Parts: sequence; C-alpha cells; structure tokens
Amino acid sequence: MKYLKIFTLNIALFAFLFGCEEQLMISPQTSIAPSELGQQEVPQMLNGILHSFQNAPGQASFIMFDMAGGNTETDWDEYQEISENRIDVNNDLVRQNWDGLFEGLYRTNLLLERLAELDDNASNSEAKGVAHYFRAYTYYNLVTRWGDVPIIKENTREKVARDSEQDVWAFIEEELQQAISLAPPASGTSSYYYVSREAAEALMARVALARENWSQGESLAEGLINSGMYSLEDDYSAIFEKENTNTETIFALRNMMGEGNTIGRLFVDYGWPTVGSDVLEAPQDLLDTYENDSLRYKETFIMFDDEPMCTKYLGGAQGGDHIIISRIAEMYLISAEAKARLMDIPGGLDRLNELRQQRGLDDLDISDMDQFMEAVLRERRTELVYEGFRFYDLVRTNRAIDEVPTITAEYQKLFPIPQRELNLNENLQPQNMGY
Amino acid sequence: MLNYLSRIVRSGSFLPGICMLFALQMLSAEIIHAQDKTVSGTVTNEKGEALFGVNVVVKNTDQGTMTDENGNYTLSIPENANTLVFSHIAYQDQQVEIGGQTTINIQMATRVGELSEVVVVGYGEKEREDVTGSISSIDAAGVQETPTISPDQLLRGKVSGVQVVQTSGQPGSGFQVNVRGVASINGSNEPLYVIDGVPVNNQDNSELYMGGTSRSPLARLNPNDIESIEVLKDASSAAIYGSRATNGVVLITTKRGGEDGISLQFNASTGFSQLPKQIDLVGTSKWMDIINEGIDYYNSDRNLTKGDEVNRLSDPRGQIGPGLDGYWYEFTDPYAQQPYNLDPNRSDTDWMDLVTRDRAMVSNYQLSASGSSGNTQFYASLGTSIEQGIINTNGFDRISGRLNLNHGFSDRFNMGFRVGLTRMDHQRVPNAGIGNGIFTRNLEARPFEVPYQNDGSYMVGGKDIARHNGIQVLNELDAETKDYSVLGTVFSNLEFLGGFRWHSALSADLNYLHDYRYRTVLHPYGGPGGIVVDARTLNQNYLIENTLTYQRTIGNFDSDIMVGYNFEKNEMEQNDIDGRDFPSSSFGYIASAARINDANSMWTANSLESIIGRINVGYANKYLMSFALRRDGSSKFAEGNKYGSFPSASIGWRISEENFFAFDTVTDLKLRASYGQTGNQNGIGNFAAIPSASGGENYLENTGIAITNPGNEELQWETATQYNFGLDLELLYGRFRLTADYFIKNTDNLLYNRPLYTTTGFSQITQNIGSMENRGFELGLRTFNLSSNTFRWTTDFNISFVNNKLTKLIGTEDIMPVGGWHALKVGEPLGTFHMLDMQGIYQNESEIPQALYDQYIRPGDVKFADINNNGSISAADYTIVGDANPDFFGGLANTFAYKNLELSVFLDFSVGQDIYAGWAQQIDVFWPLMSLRQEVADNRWTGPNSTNEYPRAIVGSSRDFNRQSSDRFLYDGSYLKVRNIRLGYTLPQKLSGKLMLSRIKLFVSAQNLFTFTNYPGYDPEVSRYTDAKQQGVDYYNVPPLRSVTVGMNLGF
Repeated sequence: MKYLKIFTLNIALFAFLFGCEEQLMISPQTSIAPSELGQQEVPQMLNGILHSFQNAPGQASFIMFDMAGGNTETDWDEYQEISENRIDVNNDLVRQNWDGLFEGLYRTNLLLERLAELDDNASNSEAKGVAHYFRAYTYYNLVTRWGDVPIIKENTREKVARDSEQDVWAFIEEELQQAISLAPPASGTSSYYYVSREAAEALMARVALARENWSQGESLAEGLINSGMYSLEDDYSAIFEKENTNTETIFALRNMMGEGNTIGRLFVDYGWPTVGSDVLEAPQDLLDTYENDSLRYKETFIMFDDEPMCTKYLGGAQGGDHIIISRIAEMYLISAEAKARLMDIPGGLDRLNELRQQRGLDDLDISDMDQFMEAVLRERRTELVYEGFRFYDLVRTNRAIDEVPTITAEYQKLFPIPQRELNLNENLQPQNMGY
Repeated sequence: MLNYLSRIVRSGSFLPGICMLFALQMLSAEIIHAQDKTVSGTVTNEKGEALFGVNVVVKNTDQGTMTDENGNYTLSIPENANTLVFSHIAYQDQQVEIGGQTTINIQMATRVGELSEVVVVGYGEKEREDVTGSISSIDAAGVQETPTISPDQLLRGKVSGVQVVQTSGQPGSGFQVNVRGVASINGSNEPLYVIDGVPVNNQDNSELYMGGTSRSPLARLNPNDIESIEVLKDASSAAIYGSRATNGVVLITTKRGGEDGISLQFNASTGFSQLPKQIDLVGTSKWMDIINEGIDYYNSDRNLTKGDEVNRLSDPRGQIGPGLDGYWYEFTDPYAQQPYNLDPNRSDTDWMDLVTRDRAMVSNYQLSASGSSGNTQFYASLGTSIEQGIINTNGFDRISGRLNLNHGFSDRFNMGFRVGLTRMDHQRVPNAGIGNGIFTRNLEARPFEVPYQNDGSYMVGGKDIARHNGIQVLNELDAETKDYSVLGTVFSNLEFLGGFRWHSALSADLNYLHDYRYRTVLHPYGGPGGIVVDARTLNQNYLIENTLTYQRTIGNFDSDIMVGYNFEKNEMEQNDIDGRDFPSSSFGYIASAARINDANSMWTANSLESIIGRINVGYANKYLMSFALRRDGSSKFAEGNKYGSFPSASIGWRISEENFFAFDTVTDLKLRASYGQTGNQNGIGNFAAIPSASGGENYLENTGIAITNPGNEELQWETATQYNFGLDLELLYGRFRLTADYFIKNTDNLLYNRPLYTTTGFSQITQNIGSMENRGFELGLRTFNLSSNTFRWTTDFNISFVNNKLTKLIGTEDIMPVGGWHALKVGEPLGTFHMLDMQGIYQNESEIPQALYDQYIRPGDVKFADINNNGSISAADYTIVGDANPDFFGGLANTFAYKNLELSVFLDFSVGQDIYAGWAQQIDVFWPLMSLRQEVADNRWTGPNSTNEYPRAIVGSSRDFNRQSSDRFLYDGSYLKVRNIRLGYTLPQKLSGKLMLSRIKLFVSAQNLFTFTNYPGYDPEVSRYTDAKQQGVDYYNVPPLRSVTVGMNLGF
C-alpha cells in the first residue's frame, strides 16, 4: 500500500505543477519598466544623463580636438590616425564618440518627454533647463566634428537623415536660450559639477565665436567675468587637482573613481604611481609654443622618465580626474577675441594680458589684427591644452591647413561619419567628402 | 593523405574502396591448412536462419574456415583436435567437443547488447532497430586510457554530423560542438546537454576575463563515470526537448550497477604533454638587418637624408619611429646603452621557452565500485585528475565523487538517485585576446629583450620593452576559479494496470563558483597598490519532471504512448568586490585593501514550462512510426509570445523484414524519414523582451537611472524545421554496418542582437531577423574486418558534409560586418570572412595607382583588390574572401586486437575551412616593436619578381598599409590529425589471478601525435571566439597539446 501513497504523491505533484504559468513571469530586479519613470525619478534621470555624457563618448572624446589639432603624438593605432589626421572610417574612438553622444541625447530627450507630462514646478523647470543645455552640448560636439548631423528632438527608431550645419547651429542657439532662462543659477564653487545657467552662458559664448556673433560672445563672456562668481587662479595647476576646488571652473564633469572614465591613462606613464598607458605624448611643436612661458609649462608638464608628461589628468588608470567643460579663462580668451573682432584691439589686449599676468607672462603690445589673432590662438593653445579646443579653433579661424602639417586638404576639417552607422542607416549617406 | 582523402571523396570512388576492403576480408578467411580429417555442418541463429560468415576454428590453433551464405561449412582438422570454436561478432562464442562427430550443426545465441543494442532516447529507451530518427551512440570504452577532462571531448571525430573544435589547449578549457552545422546566429551553437535526464547548464559563469580561454562547465562530470553518450541529431529525436533542441541534444548516461556481486576497479595513468610545434622567429642579428632594411626603404621612399643626430628620439624601446627631422635612424640595440647597460654580446632570449613548461604533467586516478545486492544496484566512484598547463603557472585539478543507486521495492516500483559531487580548481593565466596574454605577448617579444634589468627588477612592457613581460605577468598574478557542483536527480518509477509506467524525477544542477584574481603592485595592471577581484556566483537549476507511459502490444501492433510535464527554473546570483591598494604584495585579501573600488551584486533568472507527448507505433517490426509534440513556455518572451509548439513525426520501414526481400547477406535494411520543429531561446538575455530602466548610472555617488535596454516585446521563438532522410544497412549480421543521412535544417526567426544605428540611443536590439539553412550529408560506417579467435580488426569511419547559408536577413540584402573580420550576408555561410583581398605584391612602379604611390606605396608592397575602383584602398574595398566552415570533416578509428594486446589508432580530419591568423598580423609584418617570423623573413620580397606572397621589409605607414586585415593572413586550415593511439596489454588471467586480481591491464596512449596541415600557426584547430559568426580566428591560442600517458587498470 505504501506504493499507493507514493503514487498519490506523484499525482499531487503533477497536479500542483500544472498552472505554474505565473512562474513564467520573471521580472528583473535591477531595473524597472520605463513607464514607471515619474516625478520621483527626475533627479535620478538627471544623474543618468551626467553619467552618460561623462562616460559614453569615451575618454578620448574630451581631447579629440587636441589629437586632431596637432597637440599629440603617438604610435597607438587609432590615436595615431587621429593625431595624424588620417582617420579611418572604422576608427573606434571616433565611433564611440558618436555613439556616446547619441546615448546621452536619448536620455536627455527621454527626460524632456517625461517632464512634458509632469507638473511645471520650479524643480522640473530647472531640470528642463539642464536638459536643454545637454542637447546644445551634444550638438555643439556633433556639428564641430561631423558637420551636417540629424537633429533629433524626440527619440525615434526611424532611420534619420542629416540636417544642414546651419540648422544645427540654429538649434544649438535655441536650446541654449532655453537653458539660460531655465537652468538653476550657480551657487558657489561646490556646484560646478552640475549644469548651471552660467554653464549655459559659457557654452553660448563659445558658440557665439563659432557663429562669429562677436558682440554676443563678448557680452556673455564679460558677463561671466564680471559676475564676481569666478576668478583666475594664482596657481595654474590647482585648477586640475582632482581633490581641490578652484575658482575658475564654471562646469566640469566630476568623473569620480568607480563611476567615471580613466582619461589620465592616456597621459600618465607606466612608472607613475597611478600607472598609465602613456598613449599620448606632446609633440615638439607644442612644447616649443611655451618658449617664454616657463611657469605654465612647468605646471602643465613634468619631466618623468626624461619625457614631458601632462599633469592635467594625473589619476592615470586609477581615474578620478575631473573633466572641465567650461572655465573662466576661456571667457577671458573669448572676450579678448570678440573685442578685437569688434575692432576694439586694445580692449581685447587688456583681457589677454590680464590672463597672461596671472600665468606669470609679460604683457603683449599688439595693434595688428592678424598678430593679435595669432597671439590669442597661441594663448588658447597653451592655456587650454588637452581640454579639447585646438582643432576646432584652427578650423573656425581657417588656419588648420597652415598650422597642422598632417592636415593638407579641406576634407580633413571634418571627421568621417562612423562606417558602422552608414552601413546601418543609409539615410545618413553620403559620407563626409574625402573619406 | 589529406589530398588523397578529399580526392577519393570527391571522385565518388569511395564505395568501391570499401568493397575492396570487404573482399580482402573474405580472402583472409579462405586460407586453408593441411588436413587430416573433415568436419562439416550448418550454423543457424535462434530463429533457425542460416548464418553467413561465422568463424569456425580449431581451438588453440589458427586452422579454421567460415560459413557460406547457407550457413554451411566444411573444415579439415588435425587428428588430435578435440574442440571447435564458433565465433561471430554478433553472436556469443560457442565451443563444441568434436569427439567422433563429422557433422556438427550449431545454433548460436545473440550477443547481448550488440545487435539488440539499446539506445537512450529523450525520456526513454529504444532498441536500435526501432529507431526512426537520427541518433548516434558513442562508446565510452577507452575513456580511462586517454586523458579526458570533459565529456564533450569524447564527441570529437566520433559522430557523423558533429563537429568539435577545441578552443584552447589549456587544461579544462571548453570545446565548441556543432551538431549539423550552426543553426543560430546569436551566442553559442552548443547542443543541449542532458545528463541522466537533467538538462545541464553549459555556460561559463566565471567572472574572470582571461582573454578567450573559456572553462568547460561540462568538466564537472567525470568522463570516467559515463556509460554511454547519445547524440540526437534530427528533429524527430530532438524535438522532445523542444525549445532547446535546435542545435541537437547530447544525452549522457552515467554508469549504473551491474547485475550480480560487486566489482572494484582501480585506474591510474600519468604522463606529460608538450607543445606540438614551435613557431620559428628570427634571431637578433637578422632581425636588426631586416628592420634596418625596412628603415632604409622608408627613408628612400621619401627621399629623406640623415639630418642632425640630435634629432634622434630616445624611446627606451629603441628607434621605433622617425626622428624629429623626419628621418628614421638605424635601429641599434637599445639595451646596450644607458640606463640598461646590458651586455651587448648577450645571447638571444627565447621568450616562449621562458613562459612555457617543457613537460606539463597530467595524471588521473579513479576508484570505482559497481554491483548489486538483493534489489539494490549501485555504482560509486571517486576520481581525481591533475593537469598542468603548458604555460608555467596554468593548471587544473578536479576531485569528483559519484553515487548512483537504485532500489526495487517490488517488481512494480523502484526508486533511486544519481548524485555527482565535483570540485574543480583552475589556476588561470591570461592568453589570446587580452593585453597581457602570455602567448600573445611573448611570441611578439623581440629576441634582444630580456625579462630582468641588471638590478633584478622587471623590464616593464610598454616602458622598458615593447610588449608585456610574460615572466612579470605570471609571477605577479594569482588567478583562480574554484567550482563546486552538485548534479543530482532523485527518481521513482511505478508500473500499474498492466502497461502503464509512471516516472517522477526531481533534479538539481547546483554550481558555486569562486573567482579570485590578485594582481600585485608589480603586475602591469596592478597599479598603484595591487588589485584583488573576488567574485562569487551561485547558479541553481531545478527541474521537476513527470511522465506517464503506456505500452501495449496487440497482435503485430506495438505501441507506446508517453505524456509528460516539466518545469525548470534557472537562477543566478552573483556578487563581486574589487579591492585596491594593499600594504604590500603579501596581502591578498580585501580586508587589507585600502579602498573598495567597486562592489556589485546581481540576480537573474529564467524559467521554462513544458508539456510533452509522444506516440510510437510499430507493425510487425516492419513499419515504424513516431509522433511527438512539445509545448514550451519561456519567461524570456513577453506575454502573448511566451509559448511555442514543436511537433515532429518520423517513419521507418525495415525492408529486410519483408517477405519479398531475398538478400541473405543483407541482414538489416531500414529506410527512415523524419520531419520536425525545434526551438531556440538560448542566445538571448533573460530580459531581452522587456524594456527596462536600470540603476547604477550614478553621478557624484548619487543614484542615477537610465533606459539601458530598449527591449523588444515582439521577440518570439527561433524555430528550426528539419527534414531527415536516412538509411541503416547491416550486412552479415553486423559485420558491416552503415548509417547514412541527408538532412535539411531551416532556421527561421533567427534571434540576433542586431546592431542598431546609434541615433536611436542604443547600439543593438534583440530581434528575430532572418532565416538560415543547413543542408548536409553524413555517413557512418563500422566494419569488423577480421575476426578470428586470436585477431580482431574493426574499423569505424564517419564523414559529414554540411553546407550552411543565410537565406534571409530582414531589411537588407547588404553585407552586415561583424567584428573586424567577418560579415553576415544572404547567400553566404556564417563565419564568412570579409576583408581586403590581397592579389599579390606590386613588382614594379608602373602597377601602382597614383593615389597609393602618393601614400608611399612602392614595389614590394601588397596589391589589394580595389573593389570600388576609386584608385585607393580602404574599408570600402572589403569583400568576401573565404569562410570558416569545413567542406567536410570526420574521423577514422581502427582497432586491432591480437590475443591480449590491443591497439587502436584514431585519426580525424577537417577539410576546406579557412583560418584567420590574427597573430600573423603582428609578427609577420616587419614591425620594429615585434618579433619576426622566420619564414616571412626568409621569403620576403627583395626585388622585382622575387615573390608574390610576402611584402618587402618596410616600416611606418606602408607597413600599416600592408598589414591591413586581408586574406594575406587567411590560411587553409585543413588538417588530418593522428588524434589518439592507444596500446593496451591485458596480463594473462593466470598471472593476475596470482595477484588476487581479476584483471590487470597496462596501457600507453598518445594524443595529437601528428598533424598534417599547411597552416603555419601552432595548430589549425583553434577558435578565439565561441560565437559562430566570428569563428575560425587563431589569435595566439594555446594549441591542443601533444601528450603521452602510461597507466594501468586493475580489476578486483
């Protein structure tokens, strides 16, 4: 009879097991459905956006314009291609830059979509301002690298086509206007790791240079210089020390260890305590630019293993270096350039010399426009080296072919659209000319 | 040999060859000896049918004959002969006293387990002659005599239609097994492994990335415990496993207890393995000469003249680029100078020798007991295996125990369990596709570089020397994966109401993994203070299974019906901590880390619910039919798409049982046909269907979230529809057996993590994207060539031809590149190589297009096909240059037994596949940072018409041009391998009896003894990626090792 018991047990087991269909409903415990993203998640979505812009485009993206602008030398394949302005359509660093910007844009658009459905309270409106800043930031990066790019205001799975450079610039300006009116005002040095109204103004000033809106650039830059919120540091190297705060930064990505990238790996030598890969080196031509600039030179480069090593990102493979997006020194340079273009060379010279004095350099005395522009660009090169400016500075002033030996043709003023993207979306054809 | 093989196969002269073999056998039996007296008679089987081909021999002599088609024999025997021995491979031997008889008629009894071989099928067993699908069985005999770590290894070369590639020669590493080609494009194409009825987890969950050196999770089953392996190839056999059967099913059955008494066995073997070959690299002086030749070309191509020496760059690794004045200065030994001051006359460093063992030891011990007592049968075993890897600190050891027990409470009810416990310890080293890989970087190291500086500190890769220092990497790394598993099942069977059988089983496949990796402060990746990664993974897989079977025979009708229900859940939890900055390299636990860099934990799960049914019907043993249906529901799909149904049907006709069939020599002839559908859901993530927002996207230590998975609620089952047509032919009661199958397998709704244009915010999405077809022909043959009472010779041969092609890809007829070397395209197989097409070497300037000439391309550089005819060469000129699939593959085993001596020789081959030699793209290219392969150095282009194969020695951008991914590095990977030779000797009973042992067998075996191939790398049998889309890449993989072991097998 005991078999009968076992038999019954078997039957019971069988019967019990039928109808475990609900057992097939398993949901991940590390994520939630997008439809659940609501008011409570707004700050978290903002963090997700910052995280994306800090990481997704790749650490090389922040210094892409130094590589392409003749500020680096390397024998690491893909870095070398960029450094020598012979970028392959499959270059992974360029691809990652493209992909990463669109990832950030997706997150930004999603936040805007959600915010449109939520109450229009003060904090939501600030969040909108931040989102508009990032849309502008994305497109500033896109347009200066690839020229015509698709403007995506709402997330889509469609195969989008490219919009004209003109339209992209107009879109950037629109977005920055919104950001300036909505983003929260900066509140002291501790807040510069978040987007502020001032950050939007600083980016707008930069855009104004590109658009040759000299008076707009001048007034925005002067506004920030005169705001009393920012000042040039006495100690140049303090601006880049990851543990300290400084008075120059308007907006930076904090890039903490464990959440951020390891941009310092590209500069730091193997033998340095934080261990780097020593990917990028400074070419002689850059070092020569520092001829009478020994103080700033020493604070930008230290000699390690008989080689000059950049000190702006000393975290090496350990990470933790913050990445400055805008700082007040750039405003001095924007103001100087804009004033000169508005035919106020003496005014421009004042701003330029103010910055030079701070860096321990002698005053310049220039009255010729060409010489002045040359001086501003040299100053921009040394002051802002490895902060992602050089290439576009040369392109927008039409000097790329003269200044960079490996740029010999017009087409090299743009990057190639990643081949992968062209293969998957034929609407992005044709490739930028020459590639 | 290879050519011969392919020639006979292609010419179709294959069958005549076999027939000749056959005729030889006949002849050999015709040898007749001097006679004194004649005996004759007829030999029949149990049914009274005449038996052809029975050996009739005078005992203890070699005098004998064979019966004819009518079972008759006549034999002259010596006067003093007193016993005749009748033997046949399919029947039990019989001895008959001759006495005064002159006519001796004999009826022979079938040898159990041979003709009426029982085959394990899904959820049951069947007699071989009743099988209507395509199922191959593997004999596990001889396993103990070859060093075998993982059961998948046993499939290699043994089963038609099954291709096995060893991914690496590191101990305990995985095998890539494809049953009837690759049927999915996502993830692995591994078959479903079912051990004692339990579908087991075959994923390597180790957290340590060691550069493509996978672990074989199947190694948790000790191959010595295996009784039999069956491979279910066609859909009608496999469909009973429904949703996971598309890539075939491998059923593994462990040993069960014997019938009477208890027997003990002890098995021990030990030996060593070695690298099968060395890759010859040039020595220092030749290296310098050739690199300087390249530097000369560089300067003269650009009309550069030497400037001021001050402009020379001082890279500690040597003159690896042009100087500041653009001129590239001559390369001289950088280490004879400051700060290294090494002896300029030092001898060359053999880097590979420094990081590898001359002899890696292997040993295996196993004690097992099996038997029965009363109504209880059991099998118990304890085994240990230790294998050193060929790389210095690499190793693997395993301890495993198993107890299989079954108790019959009555004739109608039995219960039992089968449990295996295993601990594996893997001492791991980085290799292949990882930056500090051992073969990778040490094969690339230049001969004048040394591992240590004069003060004894390491030469550091990238800083002092060009590539990572293998000695440093190995010394300063402790990487280990410990794997604890329990694989067990408890079952009961109840028979009732005459013909009903209820089977219940509860099974668990539990696996706990502990990964630990310590890179000390001195390790190249260990800065700034040492890094420990400690990860633990618990994988639990539970299965509940109930089946009810009803069996009934009415007159000539046999039928059985089975219905069942399964529920399975797989859960994985993982947590890991990354601790950094230790006081010194003697601290290795996170307790002493200054900082936790990262800590994570995650959980994931999936479940599967199935209802199964099968009906087998047979009429008079002639007409056989089988129908099966399985309905699976998976948690991976969204509601509405969760369930899939997988039907199958097959028929068989045993023509030889028909009355009209009048060929006596043909003892069995069966035609089979089957159709069925199977599914796949393996390649996709557990939550691929659900769009989800995840955490962890943090900023300034504040929680951030973002949508990281776009999700696709439209995902559905990938389904394969397979047709199979087969034939089983047996001649002379099993002397000759042939199985041939032709199949067509069409996979639809292929699941793919499809690359997406990133303007969507995502770089990929899982989708059902297309269809693929596999067509193939496979043939297995077993012959008993000679079978006398002292000498036996058997041959097993199998060969398979599989053609794979993609038949549909949604949205595009265009080529979709995969990785850097492969592509997907409609009409082409998976594993298609897509790169530049090298047409030869430019011999003179007139051939070179202007655009290339302007890039300093000169005679001696590689001439690539300009596919888009734009005068320059770029990725837009990529084209299809080959594929990684073999035209055919198979194996040939010959076993000879003479008295107590047994010799078996096993060859396997694979012909027509291409291999991309990723390593050659580094060391074949005259790169001042790399070593240089001898053959390339010797045969480089040196002037017009010197060669069309290898370019000139050139450095700088022209070198980069020449080394672009192209078929310059693509080789024919065809091979024929002497996979295994075994020689065994069983001591005579008299001798073993004296030692109180029932059996003493001594053996010696050799693995991978010879490989016949034109491939210049270590071994053509490699695979960097387990992904079928990217198969056929050799990237510094450790080749399968050559090994020799000796051992003994004792029976008590």
